[in-house]
Amino acid sequence: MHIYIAKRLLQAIPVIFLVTVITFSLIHLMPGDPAIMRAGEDATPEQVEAIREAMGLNEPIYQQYLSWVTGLMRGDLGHSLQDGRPVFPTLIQRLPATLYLVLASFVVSIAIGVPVGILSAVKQNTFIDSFARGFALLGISLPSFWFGLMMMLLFSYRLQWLPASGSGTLHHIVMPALALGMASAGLITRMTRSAMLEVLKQDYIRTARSKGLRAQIVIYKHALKNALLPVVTVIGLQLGYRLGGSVIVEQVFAYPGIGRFAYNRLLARDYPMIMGNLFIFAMIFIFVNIITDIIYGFLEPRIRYD
Amino acid sequence: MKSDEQRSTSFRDDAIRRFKKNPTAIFGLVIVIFFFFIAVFGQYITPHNPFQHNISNAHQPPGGEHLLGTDFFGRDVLSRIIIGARISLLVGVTVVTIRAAIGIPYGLIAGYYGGRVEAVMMRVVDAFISFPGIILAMAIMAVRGQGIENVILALTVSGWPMFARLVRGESMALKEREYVQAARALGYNDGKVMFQHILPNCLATIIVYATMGIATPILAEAGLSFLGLGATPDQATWGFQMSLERQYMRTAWWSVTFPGLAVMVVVLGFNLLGDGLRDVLDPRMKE
Repeated sequence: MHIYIAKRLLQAIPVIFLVTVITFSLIHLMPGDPAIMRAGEDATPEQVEAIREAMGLNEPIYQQYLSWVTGLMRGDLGHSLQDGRPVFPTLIQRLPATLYLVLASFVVSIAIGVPVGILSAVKQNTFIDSFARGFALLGISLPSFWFGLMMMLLFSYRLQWLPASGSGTLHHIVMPALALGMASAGLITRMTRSAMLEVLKQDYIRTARSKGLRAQIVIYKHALKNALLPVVTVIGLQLGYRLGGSVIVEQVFAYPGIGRFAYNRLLARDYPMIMGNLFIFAMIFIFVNIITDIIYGFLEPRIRYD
Repeated sequence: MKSDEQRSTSFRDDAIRRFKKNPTAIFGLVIVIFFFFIAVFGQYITPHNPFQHNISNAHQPPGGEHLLGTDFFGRDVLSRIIIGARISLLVGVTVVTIRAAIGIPYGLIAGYYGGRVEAVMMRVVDAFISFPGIILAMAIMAVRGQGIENVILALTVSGWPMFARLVRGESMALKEREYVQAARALGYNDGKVMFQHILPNCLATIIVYATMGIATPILAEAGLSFLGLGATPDQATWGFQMSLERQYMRTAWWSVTFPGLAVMVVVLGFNLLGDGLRDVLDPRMKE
């Protein structure tokens, strides 16, 4: 197990290196001049030059990259072009609200996806199954922001049950979490269904049944445990979509997380903030996927010997 | 009862027969064809001019002369949805095509050569996948500015690795097959083995993935345009229509609801079609 964990950690090093290269190239090597984009179309050449100077754009490109990366290693992601605030603490400060939202959306999508998926598999080829599959497809096809707006229309404006924006109470998180979690609820429903169908065919389930165990016990104790494995992986991979989706959903519900902040800085072309945001999100993704891989290794010992 | 002759049909005939018996696939295909039709002929069939401002006619509710109502500028919502189909589908199809053009050879090469080549190539893919796709796309839009070509570029860059991953898996599995070994033993060069012997056998998977894959950039484009980081305002995409009308949602629900519904139905169509194609092209995967 130690070797497996060590191997997994070592694999992450080149990926992190490449993440820094991509983040940097995105801003500095893409066709288009970041300084002009930042200054706006009717800026004077002097203004553009001032921005170039502030961003260090006049240095050779490898020099710029090196100074960015060495800063990075000390936990220094540079300073905002907008207000001079340090990038890293400013972003990290807003991270908990977003993680809370993402977590809530996972709770929503698991609470919906897993039971519906099980029901769908157990009642395969019945009306319930068709209904569950239709639900899953619909969930996957929903634009999150539109679903959020529709909920707002119904629950905030018509029924006045939930607040349309802001944060702080449990009521505030319900609609953003649903908007962010619905697509994954659909995905998790499908994953659970197919994993369950696979497991229910196995010999040990038949053995459990032939021992005369009640159907419920067979399903919940024997089958579900094994069917949840792929779901764990999906959750890890889904995290990226969630962090990305949070930008849009936070914007819709005026939720004060890192996504909404980053979006505003994106519109202002505050490049150090944009790069910092990209880097932090990628790091979270890499970290969580290492964790899920390790959990997976515990749950499924065979995978460690790959 | 079927005779032996009928039973030994080609894979293609067999697939078409299965497709016809698959109601979800047919339903998906109908939706997709419907929207392609609108995308191509939209400008000739709009009941009103989708760009004509008429403030005195602002926010008319659905029904009557304006079936789906009018927006803040008095423009016909239905006509604007019809005209918006073109960019939505254009983005979906173009992005998936370019993603495939990059990802397929990339994945084939990585899977075929294996070893160190593969390790390096797949770490690059891992790195791209570490970024939330939409954020990567947003950052590119921030550097490049609004416009449909930039949307296509941004969504291609953020999404090509999934194709590479998929094809690499297939390519790795297929290279051990006897017919591939035979082709190599006959001295065919690697390119020929990869593109003439391995690629045709991943096509079924690629077609299924590409069909469903059209849905993703359509959703992403709607999201980007909703945030004001997508198409330019004069391109009137569904996402942009929603972002304009959002502030009036409380009094005029229709001008936000219907464009979003259009996005959902198109995406649903591609998902249904992809699901159906998977059942048809890859019977092993069907339970």
